[in-house]
Amino acid sequence: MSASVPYLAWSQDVLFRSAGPDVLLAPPGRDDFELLSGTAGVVWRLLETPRTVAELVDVLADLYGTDRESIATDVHPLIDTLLEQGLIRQAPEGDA
Amino acid sequence: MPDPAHADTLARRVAGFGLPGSDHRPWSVPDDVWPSLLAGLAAQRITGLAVAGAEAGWLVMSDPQAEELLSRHRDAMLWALTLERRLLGLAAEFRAAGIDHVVLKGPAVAHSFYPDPSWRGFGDLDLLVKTADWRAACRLLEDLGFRRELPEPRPGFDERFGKAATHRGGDGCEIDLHRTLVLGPFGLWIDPDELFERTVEFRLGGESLRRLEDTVAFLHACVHASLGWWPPLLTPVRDVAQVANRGAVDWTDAADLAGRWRLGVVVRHALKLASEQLGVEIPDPAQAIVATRPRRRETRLLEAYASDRRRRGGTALSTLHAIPGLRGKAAYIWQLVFPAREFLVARTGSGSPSYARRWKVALRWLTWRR
Repeated sequence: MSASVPYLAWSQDVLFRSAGPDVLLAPPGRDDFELLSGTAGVVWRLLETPRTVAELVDVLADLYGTDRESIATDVHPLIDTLLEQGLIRQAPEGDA
Repeated sequence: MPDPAHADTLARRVAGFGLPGSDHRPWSVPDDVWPSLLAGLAAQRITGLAVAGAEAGWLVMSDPQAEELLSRHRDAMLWALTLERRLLGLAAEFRAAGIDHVVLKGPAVAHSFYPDPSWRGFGDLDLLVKTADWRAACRLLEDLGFRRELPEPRPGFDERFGKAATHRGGDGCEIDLHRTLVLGPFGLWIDPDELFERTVEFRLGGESLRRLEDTVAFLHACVHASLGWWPPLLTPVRDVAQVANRGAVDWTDAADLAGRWRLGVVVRHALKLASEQLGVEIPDPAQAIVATRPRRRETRLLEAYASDRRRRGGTALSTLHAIPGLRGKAAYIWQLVFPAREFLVARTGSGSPSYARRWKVALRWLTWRR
């Protein structure tokens, strides 16, 4: 994760739909879909509002009643995956 | 034996979820009715409303019911996403070809008027193009691998009397290419060019697309609910209530346009359908339209769509009322009674095309006694 670009937000060109607790995503340039369930779906929904990783961890820690460290350990790889797949983007503050 | 009518009643209840005036009390579905209700929700493309109702604690479901509903809803949403991907690709092709287009219904309504697009399912795409671009748009779709389902009866019929043509892609995606909003007299009274002047942008997948502005979108929802299917489908009826309640409809403008396009009776009928079928409230400003006394002639034309007359060629016969001049009427009749052989073949499927059979049907329409 780049520390100089603090905000995470939805990629604008990803089509998506809610399906109960899950989120279905149609990334551009592909024929297949991604299914985010459980915490991954929650993280995606939370990023409707652009947030820093620290803010995201705070919200999740409150939501699940768990300490920040455990949440951060789980969330970082997930965020890396979402960024890698182009499902979310990094945006400078004010541009998110 | 579960009563299918009971499942229909419950499906209408689901279709009213979250609208003003709808029943807010939590309810559950008896197990014996559930399979029929689930089939109905999927067929009417309202699984999203049921899922939203369940998440809100309004529709109380057993775990197996919830799982089955979610599975159907996932399928519906994957299809909606498939179509939206297709739409973005088509929009780029239309733009490159210089063909103005407006997205009707489906994604345009889902992303503009519903709190969450997942609430609004759809099974195909509807694109409106200008009559002048009709041929080029049909050709473009064919170049892109779509096949037109039914050819026009005679060359030039589409631009003069037609409403839309369905084009199907190899992947099952269906595109309804429109040049007006509905078949028959009401479609001919609408000014298609004015529709293009009354559009706004909506965003999809980071792209800018055009849809009808809210007031015209409301009129279109009414047209689709009242004239699209008989009996009416729940999604278009829901759209009427949804756009009326959530859209920025200018009711004075709506009444004016409805008057100019002779849609007063259609709007009135659609609002009554929404109120009676979904048990929801009609916004106060719309009550003025409901209270207007429809013209007898237009009421009669509405019956050609919204009654059993529809199955007896009611729409085709009533179109004659909207075609100006005897020569126009004669051309319409001629083109339908003596269509091109290619049209007859497509119309009769794999059977042998027969003019005699077509004339017999037309004769039955004309001589049927009410």
